[in-house]
Amino acid sequence: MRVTNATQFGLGVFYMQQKQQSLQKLYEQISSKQRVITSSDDPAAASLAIEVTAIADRSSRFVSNASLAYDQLATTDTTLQNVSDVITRVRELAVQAGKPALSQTDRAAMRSELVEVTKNLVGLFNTTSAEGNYIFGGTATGSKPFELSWEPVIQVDYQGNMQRQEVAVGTSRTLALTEPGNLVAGQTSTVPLLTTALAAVPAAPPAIPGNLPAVSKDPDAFTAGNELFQAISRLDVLLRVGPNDPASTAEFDRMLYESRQLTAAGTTPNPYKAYEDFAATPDWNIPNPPTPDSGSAYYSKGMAEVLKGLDAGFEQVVSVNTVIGSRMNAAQTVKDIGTELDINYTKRIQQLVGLDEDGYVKAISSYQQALTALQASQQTFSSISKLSLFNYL
Amino acid sequence: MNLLNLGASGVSAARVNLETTSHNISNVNTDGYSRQVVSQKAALPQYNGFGFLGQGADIASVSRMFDQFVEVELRTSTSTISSLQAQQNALGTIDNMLTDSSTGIMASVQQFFTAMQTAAANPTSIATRQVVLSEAQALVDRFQTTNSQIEELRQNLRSSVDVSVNQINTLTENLAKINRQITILSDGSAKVPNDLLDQRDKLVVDLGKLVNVNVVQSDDGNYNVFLDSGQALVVGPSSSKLYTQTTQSSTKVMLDNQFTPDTQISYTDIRGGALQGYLQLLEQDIPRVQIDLGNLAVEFTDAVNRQHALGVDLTGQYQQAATQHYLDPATPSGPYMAQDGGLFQDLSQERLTAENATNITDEALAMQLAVAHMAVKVGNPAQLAMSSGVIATSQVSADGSITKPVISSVWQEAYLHQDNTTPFVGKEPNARLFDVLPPPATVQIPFDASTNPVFGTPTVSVAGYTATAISKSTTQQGVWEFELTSTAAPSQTVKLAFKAESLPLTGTQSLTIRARDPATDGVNGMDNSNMLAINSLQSKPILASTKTGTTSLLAKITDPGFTRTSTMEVFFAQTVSYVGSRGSITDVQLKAQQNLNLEVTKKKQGLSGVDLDEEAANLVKFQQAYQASSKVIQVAQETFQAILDAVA
Repeated sequence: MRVTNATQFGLGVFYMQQKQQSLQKLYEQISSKQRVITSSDDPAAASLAIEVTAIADRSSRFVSNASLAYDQLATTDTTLQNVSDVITRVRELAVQAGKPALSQTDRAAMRSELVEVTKNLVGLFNTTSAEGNYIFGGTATGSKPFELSWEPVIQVDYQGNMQRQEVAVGTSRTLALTEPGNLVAGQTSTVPLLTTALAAVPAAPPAIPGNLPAVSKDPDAFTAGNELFQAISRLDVLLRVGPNDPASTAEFDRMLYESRQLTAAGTTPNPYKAYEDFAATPDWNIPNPPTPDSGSAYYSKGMAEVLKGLDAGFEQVVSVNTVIGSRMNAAQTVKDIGTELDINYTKRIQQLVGLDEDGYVKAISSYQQALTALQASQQTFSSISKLSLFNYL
Repeated sequence: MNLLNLGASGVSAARVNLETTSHNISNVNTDGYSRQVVSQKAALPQYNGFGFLGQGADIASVSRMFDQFVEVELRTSTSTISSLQAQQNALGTIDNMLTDSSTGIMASVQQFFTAMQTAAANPTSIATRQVVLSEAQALVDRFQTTNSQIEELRQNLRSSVDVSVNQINTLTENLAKINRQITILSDGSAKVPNDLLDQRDKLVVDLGKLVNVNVVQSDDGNYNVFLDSGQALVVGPSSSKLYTQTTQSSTKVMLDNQFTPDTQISYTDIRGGALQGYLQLLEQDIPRVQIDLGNLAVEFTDAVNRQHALGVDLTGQYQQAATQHYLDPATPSGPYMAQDGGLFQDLSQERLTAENATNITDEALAMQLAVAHMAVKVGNPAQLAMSSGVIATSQVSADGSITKPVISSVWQEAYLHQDNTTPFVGKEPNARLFDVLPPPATVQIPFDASTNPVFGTPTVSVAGYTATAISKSTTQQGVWEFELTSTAAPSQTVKLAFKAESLPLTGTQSLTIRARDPATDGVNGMDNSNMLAINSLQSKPILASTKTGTTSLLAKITDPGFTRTSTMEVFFAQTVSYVGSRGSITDVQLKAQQNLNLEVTKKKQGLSGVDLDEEAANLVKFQQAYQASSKVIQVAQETFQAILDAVA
């Protein structure tokens, strides 16, 4: 084939350009450590990488949500542990107060301690998270969930709602950040009224002493789930009135009477059975009311119920704490799995579009090769272009 | 005395040869130049009795070394290269725009959802809500920047088409002119104006760079130039004109047929040339990207708006969303009503325009405008409707105890824009429970620990409603859902979902939920469940895959079998994959064509190119011939002088 000047120059330029291009590509690959720079380099890998990146982003956000949940749940957990300690302190007080021999002054001192301990307890339930949100208010995170007043008696009421603030920790999974306080500590410290108040026993026929009062509520009948504050409130009342309060003595006698009436009539259920049982215990063995002893009996029974109530409240707090613990576990698992997944996703993206160690070495060696080839082309070109017959004419 | 004549013919032949050689040397770098060679022959001999006596040399012709077949090959490959290069440039630009992971569209979508998640974890904080709005604005900006870059590219390509058409017209005119000149100057096959022929071939190659053409040489030596579709651009000394016809959405290249109706030249009608590349980009690739981007914007904003409209803001108020835009497949022309609410600007009007478009470029225009009209409507962070519009009524009984199970959150789930496969009636308006079942009416959810599932079919406290049985959500853990339909016309359906906790192992219970009434409920029981519902859109299939077709690419709601199958990232990945594949095919083809072109060029150069070494040798050769013939003349002169001297 005839070789002409245009062929000679054209070829030289073409090959040098081609080598420049491949050098440029390799340079981009090496400096960005990416195998796929634009999606046309490998459309399948590039589009997959977009999906994986989106999933990885989402997963890492779930991890950060789980971390947030973990931190907030940890605050809840610590708070609930403190709550358990405080309940234990209240229980000690209740045990101490159970001695009927205490003086009025002793009881007053104990009452003021009870008020302080209760303030502390309610304060714990009004704990806020790092962001300043109340953690026991359900979704009402902006206002105090528990309202406490202590005059004339300790009164605690829940102000929050029953919903939970949730965060997503998976595409189909959420985790609750908050716990409604009424499921932990109860809705109110007020004992509900009896559905029908007991009318006073008529004075005639005089078989029964006629001075038993009408009773509108049973102060020892705590409602399920509300035992903690009801017990504290009850303890407060007991400390205030002491064992020799005539009014409460009469109440006790009234309910004891009612229970014995119902038992005699064979009516079940008998809501006042507790009084009858208590009166029948060997310590008391109270005959038909009224008796002078029933004041102390009333105090002791109240204290026994307070202790039961505190135990129930303690149980409830502990069981919620267990739930919180399991949620913390779940959050931790999401964090752990997420971190592992993150590594996998990074690896996957790296595999799809990145330049791994082998690829890196290969790219560098290809770069060297391409560089050498380009230099060779340039040298050949320059020496060929110097050749001309005209040089010798 | 023939010697002098012989010498003279030799000198003149050598001079022609020298001149041609010099001409070759001068034109060594001239584009499209073909090497010329002199064909020299012995002159007719003269009979002299004893035999024929040579009469010296004659120049037969000066011709160019040219191969028509190689020329066609070269032209075709040059055309293809121009087309591919045009496409490669534009596709590379789009590719860069879409793929960049830190500034790309998908990154902004992710950031938006990240902000939503942060806000959902802290729903009452104005600061985190503000971040949602800022990220929403950033997302809109990102969509619009990409969109306007693509639109800019489209406008550039349109002006490139105009420029190409003008260049084609100039070239065809010149071809017609040169045809005429060649006819005038030529005289048979021996006497042809070589350099004009070269110029004409060069013009055809230049024309081929713009649009692939076929050349048929007529008997009188004229080049007749035809497009691949058969229309003539140049016939002898006359040429036809191309012109462009542009609307807002499309650019058509038309061939002026003078007497018959003008023909449209579509990219499928031509096989190469930059014009083909531009037209293919304008009619296929750019619309595809614009439609995908627009579809993403329309479906995303619509889905978010629909869920957003169902919640209440920080002050417990519903956001304004009185009327919903929707397209009834039965009457696909509307009606549409304006909507003022929503987190984003409603883009349904643009969707309608695209739905009713009859060709790809009109769809693309509507979708491009959809992205251009994107905007964040909510300006006040407090107005983000993060809280559910449904509440569970108090579950604390009179004695202070709590009835279990407990509904820990309850919300309404929005329907996506309905399609033909699901019952259309009642769902499309995306009504709020507040409007469908105004409080104080309530929904009772029966719980029975002994049955499976533990929740039965809800009942409504007032007449005129039906509910489906409660079932477990297939997409979310621990979530129960059901649909409630008002039977009075117009019938409307809402979908409600709730989470229940503390499920007791025995017993029955009736749980009550109702719509949130802004007037009486205020900010009580505000939560983040509406925001969580918006967040879950991210992993839901809210988009239908782009079609392939010649008249429509947008998956239309009115299409039979319309199904949403793709999440946003999957949908976007297929767009990137499309652009990437087109780019990669173009790259490969271009590389192949360039190599082919190199081979053809080598072939052409082998025949037509000028080799300076060869010319140098020729120069020496013809110089010697010239000197030799001159010597002949000198000898003749000296011989004649000798005779004169002898006579004198």
